[in-house]
Amino acid sequence: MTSQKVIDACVHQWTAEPGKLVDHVPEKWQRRLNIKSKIQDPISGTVMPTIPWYHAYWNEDSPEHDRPDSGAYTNSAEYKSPSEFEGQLADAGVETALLTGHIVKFLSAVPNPEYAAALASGYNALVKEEWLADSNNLKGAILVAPENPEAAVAEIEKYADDPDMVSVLVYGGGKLPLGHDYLSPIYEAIAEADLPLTIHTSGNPTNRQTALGLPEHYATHDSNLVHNHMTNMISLIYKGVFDRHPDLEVVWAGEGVSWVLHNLWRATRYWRNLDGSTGSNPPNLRQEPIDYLDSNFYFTTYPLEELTDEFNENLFEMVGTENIIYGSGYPHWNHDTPDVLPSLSDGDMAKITRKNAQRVYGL
Amino acid sequence: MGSVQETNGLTHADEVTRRIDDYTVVDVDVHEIIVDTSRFAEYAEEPWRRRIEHLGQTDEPLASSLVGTFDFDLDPTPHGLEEDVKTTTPEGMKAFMDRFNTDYILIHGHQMEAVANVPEKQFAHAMCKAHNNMLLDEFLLEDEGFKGSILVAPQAPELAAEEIHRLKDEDDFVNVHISASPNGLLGDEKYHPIYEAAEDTGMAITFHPGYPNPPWSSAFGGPFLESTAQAYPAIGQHMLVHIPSLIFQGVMEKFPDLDHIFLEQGITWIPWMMGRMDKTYEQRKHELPWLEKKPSEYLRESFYFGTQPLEEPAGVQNMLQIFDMIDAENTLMYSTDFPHFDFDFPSVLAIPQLPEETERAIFGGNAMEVLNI
Repeated sequence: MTSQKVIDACVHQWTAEPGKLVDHVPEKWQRRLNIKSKIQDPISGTVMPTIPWYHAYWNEDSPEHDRPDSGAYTNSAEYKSPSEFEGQLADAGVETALLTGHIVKFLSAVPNPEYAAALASGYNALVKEEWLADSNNLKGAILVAPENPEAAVAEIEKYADDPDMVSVLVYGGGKLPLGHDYLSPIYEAIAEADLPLTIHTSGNPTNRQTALGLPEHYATHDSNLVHNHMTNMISLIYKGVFDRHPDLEVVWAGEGVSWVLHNLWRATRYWRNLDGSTGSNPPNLRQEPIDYLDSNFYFTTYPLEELTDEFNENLFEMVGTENIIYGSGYPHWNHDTPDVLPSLSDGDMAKITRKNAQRVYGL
Repeated sequence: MGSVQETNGLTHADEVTRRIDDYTVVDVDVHEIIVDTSRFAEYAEEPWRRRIEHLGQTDEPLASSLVGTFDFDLDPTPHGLEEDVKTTTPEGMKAFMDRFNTDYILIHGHQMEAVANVPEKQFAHAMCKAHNNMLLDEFLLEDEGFKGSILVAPQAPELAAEEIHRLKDEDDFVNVHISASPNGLLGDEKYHPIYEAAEDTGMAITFHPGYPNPPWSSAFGGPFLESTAQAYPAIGQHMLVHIPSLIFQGVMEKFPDLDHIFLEQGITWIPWMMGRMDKTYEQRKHELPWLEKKPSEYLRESFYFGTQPLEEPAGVQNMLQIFDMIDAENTLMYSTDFPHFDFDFPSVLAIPQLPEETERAIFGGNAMEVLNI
């Protein structure tokens, strides 16, 4: 464990009480939230659509969560109270943490883009009010619902100069891959605000779960959540988002580190293959797909792959320690502590646990 | 990312072709092409023969490709190879083998790649049967170096099992081939009859990318991927999804003697996948009580991987490290995907130089053993 305090770029606080959100959404959505605040319906979720078995047996709040033979579960008291949450993080050696929300990971599953945008806006207001106002150690990210670009732009502009909001936050898994032309105004607004974009994977329950739909078991679902990152990365590159906005920095959160190697090496291989001789030309890019890793991408360590230290060291080296940011995923069932990091030089450890995040998020 | 070195297959191609000349080389992913639909139809039984003939007669190009289409041309003599290299005749395939110092090729058809998305199960099965009969008649009996895969329709598992048993005594068929994906995850118990028949007959399964039907496609967000350049890096996702599915749904426990060979998915995702599955399993094994080993152990014991499309932009140094992480000597099988546009030529011939024993295993030894060649 590093003795230095760390910056944690991926923590999941609650911030989704319908009874509180209701005061922060336009009147037309208040009735829906009021109904949601009065029912406890585990199937349809409270605020967001969720998968029927999500809370019931694969995620948080298992009544058996303290049984050692039933895996780690999360105690909701820890993620619903800002003071308790902050205390837990401090105990884990965390100096500054980026809040990425909890149930809002399903925002991309809300079918109505207008309602999704209203929820995102309500969430941001609550994060400011309840989590950031009294804390020096917690930082927020501006949650946007991409499929309502106009509202997303307004939300980014609202908080662009707020020192507590250090990133724009998008949950993947929506209907449109994130490079889609329809979403272009969002990237213009992010570039204008000069903020990084944090993209977190989502197990969107109303869209496909994986490339082939909903698996039978949670473990299969979890092992394939990375698909929305893979597609979004390819889409953003090939739709020219980083050629239009070369300074845009993206932090790919929630899927660990080394998945990117296959994705971009493979993309680069096909880029080289598609030289025109087959009738399929690659779009114009200013550099090869793999080069965007160094120029635009960062990766949270969470959830760090369970591999030997030696393997993880080698994989970190391949991804580049300049491009890796520590994240714990706390308090999710599979969250990490800095102990999981492989043995690195002091310089690399400092980059991963502090310096890269300081630079990207302007901390 | 300073450690990435580029490799240039062109400069290595001839050198490596010479290097492997002494080895027994097996290429486990080669596609013959049916150019004459009416000839193919003769191998099918009625009423399917008339259906296939009709498909072949239409002017509509989407329909006339039998079960799937490609947005790249298939030159009968592709990739600027020598004139006698052809994908449509035994002689042309033999010339391909000579060109690459290959002793055996595993053939499993080109135009049947999308057979898993034919909605009519009986029709899909009939086309697989016709294809297998044609392969046997026109290729496998022509040369000792040709080995065939028994193509099955995974959407019809009982019929697939029947087809495996029908051909089990033909020595030139050495494995069962699933061109994925049906619209589902292949670990599901409805596919067990296929695995049972394969295990009973001592044959490995090859899994190859296919063309899942809407609303799925081969990748998350697939319908919105706008070009070949966007789609081809992403379509491997539908192959990745089957591996946790097979492992966590207990196929290795039910069919412990069955070997699984994943083709056309590259290899550099394997370390990540092992680490992710093990991490998840550690915390959720109480939901998977039928498993007796860690996912990575099943992966190492029961899975093999074709090398194509080798992610050669990784560079030699990174590739060697990844080969080490995945125990390449015991898990990889040389494959080219000839004649597709992403055929691993010349880049596969930039497989970094390895100890001779390791090279012999990857270029042929593993396939000879697993496929009983």
